[in-house]
Amino acid sequence: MNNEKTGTLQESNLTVEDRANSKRTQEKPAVVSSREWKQVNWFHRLSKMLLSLIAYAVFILCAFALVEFIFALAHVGEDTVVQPDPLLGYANLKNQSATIRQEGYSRSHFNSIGFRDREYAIPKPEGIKRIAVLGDSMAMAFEVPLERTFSKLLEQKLHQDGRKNIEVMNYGMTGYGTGQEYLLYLDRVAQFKPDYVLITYHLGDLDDNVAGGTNPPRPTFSVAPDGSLKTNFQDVDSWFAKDDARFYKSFEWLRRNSRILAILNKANLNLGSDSAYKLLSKVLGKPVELAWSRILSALPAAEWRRCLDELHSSEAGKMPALPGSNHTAVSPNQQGASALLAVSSGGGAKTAEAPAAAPVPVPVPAAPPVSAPQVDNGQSDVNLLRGYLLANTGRLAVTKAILRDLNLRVQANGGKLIITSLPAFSNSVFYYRELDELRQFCTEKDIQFIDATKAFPPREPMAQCDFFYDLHFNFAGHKRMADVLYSQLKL
Amino acid sequence: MLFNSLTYLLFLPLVTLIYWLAPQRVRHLILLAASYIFYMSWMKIYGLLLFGLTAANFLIAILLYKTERPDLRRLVFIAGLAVNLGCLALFKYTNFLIESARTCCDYVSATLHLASLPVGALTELPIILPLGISFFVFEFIHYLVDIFKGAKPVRSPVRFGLFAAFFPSQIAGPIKRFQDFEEQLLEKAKFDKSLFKSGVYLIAQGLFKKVALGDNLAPIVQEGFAHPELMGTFDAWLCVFAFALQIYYDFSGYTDIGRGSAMVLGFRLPENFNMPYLATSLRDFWHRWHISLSTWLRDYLYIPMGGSRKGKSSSAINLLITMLLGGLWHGASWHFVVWGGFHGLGLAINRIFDEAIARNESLKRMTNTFAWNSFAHVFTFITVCMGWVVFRANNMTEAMSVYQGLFTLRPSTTPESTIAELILQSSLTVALPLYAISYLAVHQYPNLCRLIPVFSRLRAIPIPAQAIGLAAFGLMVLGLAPQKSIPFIYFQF
Repeated sequence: MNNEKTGTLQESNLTVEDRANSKRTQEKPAVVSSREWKQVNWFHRLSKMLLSLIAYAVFILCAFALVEFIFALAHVGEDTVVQPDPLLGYANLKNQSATIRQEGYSRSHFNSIGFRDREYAIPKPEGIKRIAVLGDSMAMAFEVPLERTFSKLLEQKLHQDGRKNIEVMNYGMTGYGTGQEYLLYLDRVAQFKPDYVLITYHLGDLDDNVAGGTNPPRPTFSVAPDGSLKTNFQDVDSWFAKDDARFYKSFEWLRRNSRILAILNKANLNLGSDSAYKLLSKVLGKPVELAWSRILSALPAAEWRRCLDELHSSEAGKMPALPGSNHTAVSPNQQGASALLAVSSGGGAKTAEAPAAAPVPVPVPAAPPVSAPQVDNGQSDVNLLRGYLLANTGRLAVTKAILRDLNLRVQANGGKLIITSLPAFSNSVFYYRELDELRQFCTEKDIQFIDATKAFPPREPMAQCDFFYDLHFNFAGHKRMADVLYSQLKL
Repeated sequence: MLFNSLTYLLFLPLVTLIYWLAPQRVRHLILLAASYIFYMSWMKIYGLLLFGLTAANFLIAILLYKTERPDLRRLVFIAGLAVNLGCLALFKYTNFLIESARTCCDYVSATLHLASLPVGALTELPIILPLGISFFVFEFIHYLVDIFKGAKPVRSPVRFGLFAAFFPSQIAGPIKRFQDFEEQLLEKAKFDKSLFKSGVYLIAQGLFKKVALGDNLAPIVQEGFAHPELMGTFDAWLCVFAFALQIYYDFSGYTDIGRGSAMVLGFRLPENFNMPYLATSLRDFWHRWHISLSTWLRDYLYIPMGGSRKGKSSSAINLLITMLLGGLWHGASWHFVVWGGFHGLGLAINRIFDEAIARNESLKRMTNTFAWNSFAHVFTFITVCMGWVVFRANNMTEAMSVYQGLFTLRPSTTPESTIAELILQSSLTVALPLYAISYLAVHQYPNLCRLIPVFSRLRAIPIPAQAIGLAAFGLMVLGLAPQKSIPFIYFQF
């Protein structure tokens, strides 16, 4: 009895913690079998490992978020601006900001149609006159702030002399040839009803019109025996059916927003020729590439096809129904392009001038590689030069056909085409020959031709020039170009 | 193989792995082979030069040690010095001498209306300066001088070869002392985890200094010095300050990577920098800037010439000569000589001033005030910057044009971006504050832990987390790097 009482008293003196401990001790089996113990231990280990994994995942996310934040502060990794385009091969991302430090410096915003300019009203406001500048990177002028590009300097000059109703629109795009500029006009520029379309013709445009060689590839052009212009979208279409295109599409959000991805992409490009990097990518890159390929091929193909079709129709939807020339699109999948180019048989009013003015059909032989060992081929230098000249003449015929058709389209849209040449290296003999031919072509077609090359001193290769950074105009170059255009443009 | 190249970032871990996995007895051989691979990756033929000079110095030192007759010892010693200095002169100063002689002859013939002197027809020779020759020749000279003074030569050709070719310090120092280095070679190499970790962090720090700071400053400085006549006063000052930072980040970044690389291999190299721009006098500056060179110049040039033992004027002259030669060591060009002379003169004046302070109690009190110290910091930094103008300019005309920009009030007339704009456009706006914050955080870590106790737990970050942090850091360096990779400034010396 006493014992029981004592026991109860003793128990009542225990604290809550002691009770809990004693309860736990009571609950714990006196003998734990080794199997059970292993199970408990295993569970404990697994949960610990899971917790560590979660902690590391959070840590990785935090570390990389911090790097993204630092990059955002420093405006680095903001040079992702290009996306594949089913019509043009590639085009700028729309509504995207970019900072460029490769040559010079600029912070820019790409407007809703993907051009480095402000937004313009559709339809064109009453009394406004528009000059649309088309061209390659020289016109886009990523190296200087937008207000210091020759387009905007020209606009400022025109405004200063009282012509405040003139808007100069910058539609320059890196790497574009005349052919892409033509398609760009039809697809995106014509809707703004520009009164003048200023094509900036530059070294390399001739080759860009007939040769692909870009990634993603661009449409190429040729002249049919009847003198009509043919556009070939086969490379573009087949590229769009590849894994690369799926990759671009699937990761568009990341490409737009992740600066880290942009930096890695840039590093990949810059280190491409580094032997150590080549070795590393061979050892590590191949398995990763294989894994990516598997993941990409696992994406539902139908869904992917639908995305592509949407992309095509969205681009093609805006295409203006303009009276066309004899222009056909050679591409099985490119319905949008066919609609855009208004295939002659489809009802585009064929002008009388186009076929009549078409040059004698000239085949476009591939240009021999300039750096090819000349003696080893058994060809004399003269033969090689003759071959090159022939190829050059063929390519020139294509460019002229593009310009001829563009001129017709611009006129039909109520505008006027103007062509201006841009300065190149003094040893670019073929380029200066092209300019002579173009000048003659412009005289025949009553197109204003502005030869800006004469306004710049001869530019020697590998030498510093006051008007250029490495390849592109600096501030002084843009100023000089704007002066030339201002003094010679017949508006 | 540049320290900031991907090749080196693969080479170092590979060498480190092989080195620590290999048996003790072959480790030095592995390092020696790696050092020659490193050196010959630039130009194979100059591997022979390094090998030849190493062999010559190894043998001369043994001969010097064994020769007992004083006159013969002196002869062997002079022959040893002649081999090293001759080699340096041949590769580094031949064209400089030819060009100077030609300019001199042209001037004399033009002044005296003489027909062209025959030497005027001399043309420069197609000599490519072997990388790091100024550094390893100085190490050889130090070795011979010490042996001549009675030190024991290194008996093992592998150890001596490694002393000369050790890749973390091969191209631009720090200039080692063979006693310190051999002592480490003789010790049984044991993997020290904390030394390894410090080494990795030092490499990371060096990369950030070089790539994110130095390389971003380089094009800005280049733009300024390319057209000094277009720079306004403000831009000229900014440009000179930018170069002061560029050369510091570039060289100390290199040293950090070198010292860090040595640490991961279990070696310690001497420190080369100790916050040099916080110096309060030129003397203090040379105790903090390129320490391994300044101590070398002191020990093997200034003191042997008599140092300060033969009176004030002699001491000043010795200082001037030492610094003139130090300037010439940097580069075979007159503007480097002028830079050396500027510092020599500055040091001589500094010495006179210090002696005056030591004699005068009121001056001593004045120099102990906060205001004086602040003034001394600023004045020393400005003086050093004035020296950097001559150092950076390609010639004296360019330097004078920069000085004109600094000391005449004028606006910028460049049609391109001004220096201030270029700085604001670069990623330095983020990289510099980031460096300053991390520098302060690391140096004030104990105080930080006292204020916020949770920071003390940072010491215990697990290794995988540290690796993730380092990867993120590497990515950041990659992002903040400019488009073009720029070689280390001191590689040209």
